[in-house]
Amino acid sequence: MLVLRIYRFKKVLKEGGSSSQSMAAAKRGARSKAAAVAIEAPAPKKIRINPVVRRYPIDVQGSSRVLQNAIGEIFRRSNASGLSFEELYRHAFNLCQGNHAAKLYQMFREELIRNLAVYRDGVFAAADTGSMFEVLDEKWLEFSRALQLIRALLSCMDRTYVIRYRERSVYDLGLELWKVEVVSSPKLQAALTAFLLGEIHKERSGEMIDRSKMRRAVQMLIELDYKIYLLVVEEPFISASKDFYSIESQQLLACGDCSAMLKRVERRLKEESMRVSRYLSEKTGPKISRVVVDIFVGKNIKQLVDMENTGLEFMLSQDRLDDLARMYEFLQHWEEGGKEILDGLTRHIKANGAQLVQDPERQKDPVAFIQLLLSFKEKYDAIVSSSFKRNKAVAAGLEVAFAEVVNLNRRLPEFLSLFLDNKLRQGGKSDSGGSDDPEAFMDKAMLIFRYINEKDMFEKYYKHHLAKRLLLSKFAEDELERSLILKIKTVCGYQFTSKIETMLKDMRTSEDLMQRFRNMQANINAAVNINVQVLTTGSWPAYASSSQCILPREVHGLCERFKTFYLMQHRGRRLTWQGNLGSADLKLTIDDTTKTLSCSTYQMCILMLFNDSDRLSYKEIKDATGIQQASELKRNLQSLALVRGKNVLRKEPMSKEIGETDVFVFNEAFTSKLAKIKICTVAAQKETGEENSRTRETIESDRNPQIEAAIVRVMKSRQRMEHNNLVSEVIAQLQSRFTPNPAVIKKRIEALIERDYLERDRDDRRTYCYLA
Amino acid sequence: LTPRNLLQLLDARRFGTFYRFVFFMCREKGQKSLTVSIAVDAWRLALTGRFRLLDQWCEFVRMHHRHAITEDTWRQVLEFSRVVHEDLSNYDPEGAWPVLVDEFVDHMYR
Repeated sequence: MLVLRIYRFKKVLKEGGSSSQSMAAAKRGARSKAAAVAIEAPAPKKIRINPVVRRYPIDVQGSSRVLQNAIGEIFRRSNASGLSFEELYRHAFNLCQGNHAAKLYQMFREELIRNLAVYRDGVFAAADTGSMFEVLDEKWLEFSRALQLIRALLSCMDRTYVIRYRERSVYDLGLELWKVEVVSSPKLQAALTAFLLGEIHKERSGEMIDRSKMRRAVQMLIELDYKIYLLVVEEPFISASKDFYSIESQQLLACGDCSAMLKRVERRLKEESMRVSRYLSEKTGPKISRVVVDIFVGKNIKQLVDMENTGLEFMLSQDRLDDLARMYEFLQHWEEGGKEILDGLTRHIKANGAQLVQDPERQKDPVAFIQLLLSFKEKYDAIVSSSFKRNKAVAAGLEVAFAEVVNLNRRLPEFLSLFLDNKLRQGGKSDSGGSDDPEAFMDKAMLIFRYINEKDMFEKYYKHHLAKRLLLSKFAEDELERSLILKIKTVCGYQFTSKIETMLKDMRTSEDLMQRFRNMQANINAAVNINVQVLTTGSWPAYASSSQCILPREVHGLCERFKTFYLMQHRGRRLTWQGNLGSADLKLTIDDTTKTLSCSTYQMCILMLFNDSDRLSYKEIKDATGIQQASELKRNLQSLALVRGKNVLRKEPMSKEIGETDVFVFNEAFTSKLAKIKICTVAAQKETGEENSRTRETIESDRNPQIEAAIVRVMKSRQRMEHNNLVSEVIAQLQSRFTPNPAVIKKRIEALIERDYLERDRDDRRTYCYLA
Repeated sequence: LTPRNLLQLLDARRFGTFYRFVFFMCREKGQKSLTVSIAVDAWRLALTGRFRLLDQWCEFVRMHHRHAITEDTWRQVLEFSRVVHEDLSNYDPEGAWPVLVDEFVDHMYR
């Protein structure tokens, strides 16, 4: 930018005329004068040095006109190729510097309005031909570009005048006026809306549309005024979408395929999200998503969930995890939706679970039964954790439903114990490929255990089976047993497992005892070896006291010696031999071969008799062995005489049943390929119906003292208590073992009143008082 | 003045005392409770005219064959006759009545 500084000698400048000419003249004038001064002899002239006044020769009107034309050109032809940017800028700059900016602004404004009118007419003219949108798009592009150019031109004004006087900047003014002159027309807006919606509808139906045009149009509206965007675009869009999706959703609903509907929702959501990112304002995004989900799902929650053959029930049965995940994701926006899922799941589990646990066929194999139950639970756990994202309410509902299912079958505690027995027996050796980790099974079994209400039933069976495991198996998988007991303790507390731990302790104590006993007997050479286990009565299951038998003389002496030994150490205790437990290994010699026979104590007693006689009648055996229970005796004789491959005895007559008149003979023809023969493995077995009812009776009667103890405990601490409160307290106290029936509690209260532990309050017959 | 009429004259409190006394009177030596047959007779004696459901009650107890009638049950029957209406409308299942009474009400509803 060249600026000529003019030093003033004289008032050479004249107003008016071409500025460049006068500048040039002034220059010449100045030089010549200077020269003149230099040639002439310096006369003592008084030189006045005046302060510098910079003045620019501004031709305001001229500049304005130039600019005005230029702006017009730019608007009309959208290029400024014939104009010099520098020159124009200079004009503008000069005007600004010369405090004529206001005028410039005014001129610009007028020019703008004038040209906008032209644009507008052009656009409206096209309205009738139907290509209004194209024309608008075109004009807008033109206008934008023009405006940008002009902004550059007039940037000096933007920087100075606009800021100082707080006017709208060039660009902003342009937009504002475009908005007012062109876009504010309702006719235009309506046409715009119609066009946009039409395009969107086309796209939804699968056609390709020109997205960039849409984008430009929308961007224009957004830039001009967000409110206009809302009015022209967003509101109609949402409204039209609602209509469109209402129709679509009704169609799909009629098809009756829930999964398809949910997939469609997913698809449409993706589409809308893309649409928003491509040519709509991002704030519209959440609104349209909401619309889609509302219309498809929100209005049809119940119908979707309950849809026959394809709804929630079906999905749960068929493990449709993806569909379930979709359903959950959409439904959880509404409280009702979440509730429907929860209710549906609960119902499903209760129904299917009930069917499972009450199926008589399945109950024939307890181990498989429990296995099935575990798989059942795992299935729904998987669904809840993956598809339902571990939603707390749903998970809680699952727990409740499962607890209900578990307690539907009253024999479940027994089955669970049998299951554990089976796994514990397998212990280190697993015959199914080695992938079954017993620990894992136990953890899973514990899950079921938590749900069982009648935990005392489980305890009974568990102790029973444990006793068998401890006493009758050869290997002691101590670690696994301990681990299981620890797990039970975590759930039920110390009291529950104290007796069981005593059982284990007894086994260990017995080992020590035997060690000491053997050391004592070391010098005595015995053909017989005994191993005694001392059980603490009360901790072990109750065994019938009529389980005594007459031991063979070879063993008897040794047993007596042990008894003496023990009682010396522990005076005042009473020892009773339990013939129904225990096992024996006998060495059987036939001809030249010796074989080892493993059998029970009773069987040992029976067989040893045949050392002295070859033939024995049933009665003789009975008397000699002292086995009093006929069923026991018969069972053992059965194992000895009627089992193929193990018939050490022969029976006369050869009938299938043991009769009381039968005679038994030692079977000389007995052969076996095995060196060691096991007679009658006594693994734990499922109880017969009869046995089960007897056990149940025992449990029920065992519970009465427990309930009474709880009542007394509560009353002792509270002294006075109203009936219902007392019942609740008692139930709470006994919860970890079993859930008592309020009617039973009432009976116990009556019994306690009878026994003068409690009495009714004199004034309030519903309140009880503790009697010390 | 028959014994029956005399009974009618006693007011509520005194009757209560009398009623409780009847239980002790009817007890066999060494027993803590009454047998069913004795109890039923005693009830008929004491509560005629005072217990609208007396007949049904005695029938029910006789049929039910309870082992013995305890003192608490005996006393509560009087309460029952005084508190609960004939149509059993205000019977409260949570009302801490003896189990025998609960069963009686169940029986009546069927």
